[in-house]
Amino acid sequence: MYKRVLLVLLIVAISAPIFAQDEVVVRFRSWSPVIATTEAMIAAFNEANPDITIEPDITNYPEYLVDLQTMAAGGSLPDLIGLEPGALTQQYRDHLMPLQDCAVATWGEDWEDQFFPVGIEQARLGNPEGDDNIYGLPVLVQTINMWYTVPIFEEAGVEPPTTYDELKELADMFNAQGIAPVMIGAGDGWIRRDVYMQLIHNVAPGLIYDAEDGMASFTDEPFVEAMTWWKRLFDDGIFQIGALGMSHYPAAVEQIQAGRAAMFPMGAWWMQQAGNANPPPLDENLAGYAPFKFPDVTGMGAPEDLLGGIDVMLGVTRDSANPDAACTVITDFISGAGAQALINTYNDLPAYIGLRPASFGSENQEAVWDLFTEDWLASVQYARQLKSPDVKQALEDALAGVAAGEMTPEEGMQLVQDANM
Amino acid sequence: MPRHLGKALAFAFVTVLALIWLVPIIMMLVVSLMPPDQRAPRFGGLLISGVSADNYETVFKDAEIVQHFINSMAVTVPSVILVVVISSLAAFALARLKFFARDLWFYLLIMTLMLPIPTLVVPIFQINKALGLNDRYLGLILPYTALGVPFAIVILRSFFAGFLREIEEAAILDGCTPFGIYWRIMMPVSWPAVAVVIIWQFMTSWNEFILALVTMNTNQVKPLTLVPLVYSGQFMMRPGPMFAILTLITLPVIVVYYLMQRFMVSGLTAGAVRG
Amino acid sequence: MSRQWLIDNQGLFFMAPAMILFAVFVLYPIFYIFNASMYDWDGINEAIYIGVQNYIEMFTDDRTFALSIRNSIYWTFLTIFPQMFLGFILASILTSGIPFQNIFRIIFFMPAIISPVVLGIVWQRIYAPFGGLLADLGREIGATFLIQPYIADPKIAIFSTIFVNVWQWTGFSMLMYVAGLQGLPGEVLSAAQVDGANTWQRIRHVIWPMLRHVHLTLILLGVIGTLQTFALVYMLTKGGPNHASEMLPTYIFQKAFTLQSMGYASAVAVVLLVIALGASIFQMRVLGSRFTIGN
Repeated sequence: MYKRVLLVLLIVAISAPIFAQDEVVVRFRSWSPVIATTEAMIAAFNEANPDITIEPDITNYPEYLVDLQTMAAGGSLPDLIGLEPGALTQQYRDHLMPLQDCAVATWGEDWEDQFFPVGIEQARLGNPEGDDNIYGLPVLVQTINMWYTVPIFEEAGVEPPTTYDELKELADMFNAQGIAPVMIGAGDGWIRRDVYMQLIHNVAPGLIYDAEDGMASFTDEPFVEAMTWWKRLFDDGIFQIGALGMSHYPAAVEQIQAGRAAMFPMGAWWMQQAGNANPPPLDENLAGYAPFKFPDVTGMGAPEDLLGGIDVMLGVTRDSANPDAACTVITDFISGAGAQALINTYNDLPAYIGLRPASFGSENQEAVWDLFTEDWLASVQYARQLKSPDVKQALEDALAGVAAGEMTPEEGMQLVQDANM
Repeated sequence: MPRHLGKALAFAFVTVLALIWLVPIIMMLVVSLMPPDQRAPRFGGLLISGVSADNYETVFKDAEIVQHFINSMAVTVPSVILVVVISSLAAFALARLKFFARDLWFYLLIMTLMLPIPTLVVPIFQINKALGLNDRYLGLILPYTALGVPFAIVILRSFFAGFLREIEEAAILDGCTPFGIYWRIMMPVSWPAVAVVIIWQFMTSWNEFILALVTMNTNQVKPLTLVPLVYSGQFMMRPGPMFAILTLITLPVIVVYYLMQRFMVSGLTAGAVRG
Repeated sequence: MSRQWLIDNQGLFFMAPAMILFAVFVLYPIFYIFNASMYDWDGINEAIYIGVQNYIEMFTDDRTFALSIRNSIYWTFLTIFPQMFLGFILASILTSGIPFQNIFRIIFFMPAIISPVVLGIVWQRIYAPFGGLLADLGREIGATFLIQPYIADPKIAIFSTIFVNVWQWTGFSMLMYVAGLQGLPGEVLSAAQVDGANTWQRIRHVIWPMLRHVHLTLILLGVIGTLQTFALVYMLTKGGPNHASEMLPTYIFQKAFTLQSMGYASAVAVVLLVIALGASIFQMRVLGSRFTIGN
């Protein structure tokens, strides 16, 4: 008798997922990848998984935060959400499901080795002591670095600068030609912070993470020194005039694409320019741009490694009615057909090792890709991000205040230290 | 100074000023017509080399502009109608009837004028959730109406207050109820003031984006103002399509204003007649 | 409640729909933010009751809050009065029977109906010191003073933002004055003319004082508009640089959503509400604004 019961149970157990998958809907919200790319990923995913319907909803980052918080407060988070490592993930930690089981089921016990190390490390950024759960799986990773506009450099017959003197010399030359030496939309806080992170990484590698943990003070000499360098970039005309009132996206980017910038701070994600429709000539197949490391402004020797980390990771919420389907979607977006569709747009670097765009449009583009994935990304040790939103905000404010001449570098760093509690 | 000379000077002054006034609007149009692979045109976009409708094609192809337009209409038009009905009823009572705590009600309603939307986002989302209105047109229609009613009351109340007592008294002698006075006597001649309300409510509902962002989840119900936010990651780097969207958002309000504007001045004036 | 009472108070029935909406979409949110302002709360995780701690911090140790208040004061004076003044001049000209006056009225009012999302993006292109309209113009005609960091310099960012607001709302003031002027009794004006008063005297001593109700209404709406200012700043400067153009609603938005401090943001919202109520009551009681259009 109980054999028959067992048989029935077995059938139910086997068929239940099949029936359940009949009309499985996975709601997905994020700010990245952009909607057209997301739709391409979904199409690729659905070829192998026609039973799962994905409902995407992509919004700008600031509005996405409003959206997420409102839905969390109302207890109606979607199944899948886009996350940044650190503060954002920690804020939603109680609403997120640990994903290591999903990862093991998909990629095996040694799944962590299949990702770039920085991706795994940062996925746990800010977890409380003893909590080793993975609340979000990294999809895209990146470095932050500098880029230059190839035709402008070729015409001037110059090489990317490696020291501050070289940078200054180039700046004087380009300024005289009406070309922005280093184009930055310093109206956006994140790009100010990106540049500062590279400066402090030049002055005292790793120190800022100690300061975050209270093991050093933001008012210590190296921080002030990096801040002083930041101010000099404005005063010496390294950055274009009025940099502080310009947004990086879209204002600075438009000028860069128009060929009015010799150099600019950006990151690996700049490769995605080649994936857009109707690209201007510089963007086409990434013909016009090449990356270089942030110059050794301090003269202390440029660090070999770059800063970087997770661009976007995905989490499954506890509200999800279909965590299994959500896991299927996430892992596909990371290493499956969806991931391939994503990478084909050159959106950013894959967190999962070994993915490559289906084709490259130019040798330069392929060379850039290889440089990032084979050389630079492997050396990333330190995060581009900071843990606390308050410290982040204070640093961004201080950078604006110092650049505008409203406060001294010392006062600026004091502001950051005050926010670090 | 001879009169005609003064007039000529005044004409020259407003002409120059009007041209300056139009610059940002012209700029929006010009950038939207820029060839798609062009970047950073001169004078911030007032001068472009070549004109093209490609951006509009891109926008219509990539985003469901028509659907978003319908959504905006489906939210805006009912909210305009509701505001006109609800606020005219209330304004009539406040202007012509005596009742319990009348002034207190008025001051309470006026409070609504002062609430900035960002402070309301979270509580309104929860109300909508409790009422099952998220992702529905009604989830925006009701809050927009609630937030629009006070300003409409301000306008209509002063209009209604301008009516002569005698007409009302004659109507009462004829056996007219207060509602009859409102509906048969006041409303039919209140078009000018109603026009002001319509323009105002149309414009605020049409342009609102923060509440819309959290209330409307699926693409099929999102209004037009959300399009720049949804697609900016995609279009921001291409100023042409971005400005094409901006132009498409702007056109309907301008059309509505153009159609209603001759009532607008007389509507505001009518309130002023009594001095 | 007696039948007679209901008949005497039938106005309440007319008020009912408005009051219901008010209770649901206004009273409840006010109660909600007031309650939230007493907590240390990130908006989603558990809230910790801290009494009036948020308020204490706001008033003793919050530079951005102080900046927002300062900017609100700038904004109040630098938008309301220029808008009134320019609006009045335009209204005077555009009721004097010059050609195309209706078209001019439409042009000047147009910015008021356009979405701030649109305006913010367009004005960024005008102000951009590199490749922007004013900067390019300045270079082209040699007027280098036009090349300014309009929204990059914390000292002038707020004024550049205010300028856009004036551009946007002058047409509204103009329309109100047009309505007010058309409502003036003709006899008064012709009487002044017979007295031999010149144009300036007529405007200064007869017309301007007679439009007192329009002035007061514009001031009242201007104060409310100031305290509500959100979308334009949000799109144009994001409140920067370094909070130099922050207004209370943008600060509330940033605290609540970017900085994960919903409780604190609610406290700022409560203060904003109290200021708004106080300002309105002051104007209605002391200045005698009657909150009517043209009355």
